[in-house]
Amino acid sequence: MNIRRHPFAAGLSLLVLLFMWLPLIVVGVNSFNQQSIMAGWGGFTTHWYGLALHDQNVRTGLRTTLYIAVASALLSLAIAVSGALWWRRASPRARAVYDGLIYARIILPEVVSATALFFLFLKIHYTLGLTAIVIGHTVWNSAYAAIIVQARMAGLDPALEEAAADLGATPWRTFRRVTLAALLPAIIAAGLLAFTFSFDDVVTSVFLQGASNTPLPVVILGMIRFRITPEINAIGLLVMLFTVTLMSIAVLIYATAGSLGRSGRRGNMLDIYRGR
Amino acid sequence: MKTDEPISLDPLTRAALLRRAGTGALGLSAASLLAACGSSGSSSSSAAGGSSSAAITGQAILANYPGWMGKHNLAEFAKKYPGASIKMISNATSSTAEVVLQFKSKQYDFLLADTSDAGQASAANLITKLDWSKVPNVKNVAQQFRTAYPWGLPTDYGKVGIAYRPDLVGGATITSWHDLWELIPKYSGQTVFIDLERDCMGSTCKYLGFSSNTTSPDDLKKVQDAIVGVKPHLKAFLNTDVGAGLVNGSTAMAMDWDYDVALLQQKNPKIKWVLPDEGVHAYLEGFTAVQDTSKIAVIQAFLNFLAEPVQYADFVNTTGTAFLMPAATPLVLKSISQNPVLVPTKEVLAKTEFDKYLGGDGATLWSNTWTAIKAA
Amino acid sequence: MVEHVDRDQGGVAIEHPAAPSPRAPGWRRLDSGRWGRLALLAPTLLITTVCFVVPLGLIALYSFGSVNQVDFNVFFGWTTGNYRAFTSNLYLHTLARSVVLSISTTLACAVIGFTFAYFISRQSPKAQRLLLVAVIVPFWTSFIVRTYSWVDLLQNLGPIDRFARALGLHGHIDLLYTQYSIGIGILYSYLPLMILPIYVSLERIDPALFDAAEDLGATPWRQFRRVVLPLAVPGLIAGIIIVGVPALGEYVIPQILGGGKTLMAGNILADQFLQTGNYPFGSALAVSIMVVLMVLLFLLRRAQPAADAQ
Repeated sequence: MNIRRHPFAAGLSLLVLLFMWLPLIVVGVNSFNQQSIMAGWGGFTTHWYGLALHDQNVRTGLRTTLYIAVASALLSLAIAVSGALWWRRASPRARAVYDGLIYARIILPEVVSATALFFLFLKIHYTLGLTAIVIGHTVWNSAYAAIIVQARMAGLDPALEEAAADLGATPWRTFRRVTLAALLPAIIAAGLLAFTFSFDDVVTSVFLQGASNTPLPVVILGMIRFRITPEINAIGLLVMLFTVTLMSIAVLIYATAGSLGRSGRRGNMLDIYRGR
Repeated sequence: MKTDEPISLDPLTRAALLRRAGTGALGLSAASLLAACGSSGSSSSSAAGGSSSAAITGQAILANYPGWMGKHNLAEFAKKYPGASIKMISNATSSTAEVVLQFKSKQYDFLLADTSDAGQASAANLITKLDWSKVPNVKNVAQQFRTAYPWGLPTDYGKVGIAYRPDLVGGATITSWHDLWELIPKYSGQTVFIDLERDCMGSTCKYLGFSSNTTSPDDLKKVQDAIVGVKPHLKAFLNTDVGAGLVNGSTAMAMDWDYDVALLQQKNPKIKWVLPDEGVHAYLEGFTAVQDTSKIAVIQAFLNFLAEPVQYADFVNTTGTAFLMPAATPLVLKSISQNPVLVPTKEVLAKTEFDKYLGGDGATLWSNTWTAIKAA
Repeated sequence: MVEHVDRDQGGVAIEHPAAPSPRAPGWRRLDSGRWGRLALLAPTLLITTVCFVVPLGLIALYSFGSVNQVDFNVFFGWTTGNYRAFTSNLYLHTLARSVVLSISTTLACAVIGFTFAYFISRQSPKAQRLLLVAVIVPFWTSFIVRTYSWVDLLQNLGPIDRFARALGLHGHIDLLYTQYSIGIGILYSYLPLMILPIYVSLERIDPALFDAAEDLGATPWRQFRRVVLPLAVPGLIAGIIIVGVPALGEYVIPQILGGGKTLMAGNILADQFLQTGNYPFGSALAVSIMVVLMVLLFLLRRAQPAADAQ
């Protein structure tokens, strides 16, 4: 870890990490608290985890939320990346409109957007449910994703793509190996962000849920009607662990598949030349 | 607004019940339906399984809070009425506009709604009134609650009173809202109010001697002043864990629901519950059917089923709420049925006023006042 | 591949490798040509027109209407009353307070987020990914659970309070249910949103640039100012927008961490849509906020260095 060159930044970053994880420590501690009223420690127990794991609402909720979050993230990425590619060679005027629509989607408060979509769907007799929720999430998720991808796109050197073309790469391969590869950090960051937003969303989900299964954040909102119990903390922790595990598996699959495809060597421009 | 009717446990005829419910609501269709069906007395027994079960099939969708149902209610119902089932969506909310939109969206067949939301939905023509001949077990529900909740089956209620720690307020004894208002500035930063418009302002109405359903601008101005006057000394307005601080002493006094206090007292017996002299207001909620639902037969069968003492006791034991069915008392857990906080005496019920729907102008006045209070 | 073989004086073969094949005839970028470009734009067009512009139009329409207070149906007799309604002192005061809180929290977020993003970007790729994940993983618990844990943390007699008293503080920290706890809550909830775009901008800065600058004698601060800062600007602006705007409309955190005692613009707005059903008034509020912010953003965009708009 490169600490010595930037001691101040390193120190602050450590504080930031502590700041981010402190509530999690509290959540963890509270989830083992025998005392159910959250006003003092009453002894250690895993009783709440048992409750949380067997709660049908929680399990269905987690499944539903994961589906919504993944679907919305993928859709938002597709929209953001394709839009950013268009943006690169668009006229300043067209760009202004495009950017305006991105800002507008972020500025519009979620309560307003959710209500408006609700009324719209009712008017056109579109059945509310999981698809409606995914659409609702994607409206603003795609805007956030677009901002992140564009921040990266602004620095993309077109000369790289020209060079690849000159070396004999097909347009599609150029896109895949040069453009997409250069955008990859932004795509991953945007995808993570979109997933996280959807994962935690309450307002849009409540409005557009219809008669479908309830996403987890809405379930939790209903459960805290009178009090926060250690069970809710247990749910929070379990959900986090579950998602981290899923993500790790996804990363492992991606890394393994990638390295298998290139027989262990990292791809470079020479590969394009050699036609691999 | 006129105050509540005096309690009467004399059964009313169904027609009279509907007449009362019909004032202010546009439930003409239900009344005429009843008239057309003939008007023999409520003679059917509590086991309504028999004759019309042919029509009782399908899945009715219920929007409710998670876990706000007896552990075995849904499974037992499905057993008793094969072909019928209830799907519970955990989408309930206390925000009025959201509830009304849920009625409007016709995505659900019935909802958990409190008196003011169900009243509004009824006034807006968004509900289906129940055919009480198909829900004869409703006679098990105490009359006062049926009168206050005529749109569907009332299931539970909660009174808002005072909970406090005498040892943290110098041994003082609180018996009235007046006492509370006096003590708040003396123990600045140690009192919690409820962060809900009807509960907070309604209790203040009681303090000032008004009905908690008043819509007089003068009354509401006084309510506003009373709350804003003590606001600098309040710890917070909370709608979750309202009284939790009473357990470890970080809160000395709280405006809180009986349900919550009953649980807190188990954690710390030093917490005292007070039903103030001036009276209290209470919320009352139940299951109301949405307009034009195709599953009304299933809903009525289910509500009738739920109103059997055994089933209702399961509901109460799972949720731990104050209950409204005297017949279920022997089946309810002693921790609930013998808890003076949860079980009202006649005197207590006489001082309890349920929230009503205040009408369009009234509701607007209340929400403007609440905004002004929160902005101060 | 050999084009032909020459023989030199001594008869040793001299190979002349063929020149790299030129671009295939008719090679076109994916994003050129009318249909290609339309295909790229189509997803964005679809989602924005159908699911955003149309509902927004509905909102704008509602802002000139009136609402039936009983069934919450919006009807028309066109009126501008909804816009005039919130020039009252009550709302302006609340709005001012929200703006101040939002701006100060966003600035704090920008400073802290930038430092953290900068630190991450100076690490090896592996460490970068680890740190990014470390910052985002806490967000995969529920928002409600996290926010209420701050109540636990910040309350008097809570861990932070006891820690401070152990360090010698007299009395209590009295942080909970104040504007400061709201600020902490907003800072906490939005920090990753600030870090991600800035990181994405900083990450593509070639470390060689730093070495070059250092070789030329630039001090660390100068390196930073002339090399890092300009290249990080797009990410910084993106972060400020992503954080600052939603922070303005935040209403849940003021309720939970503010003890419901501090009314924010977000509360007033959310109230119209969730509680009172006064959609025309809420819509007027939303439209006004949007117009003001859009104008601000476009002015900001104009002021950006031209290098940004390739």
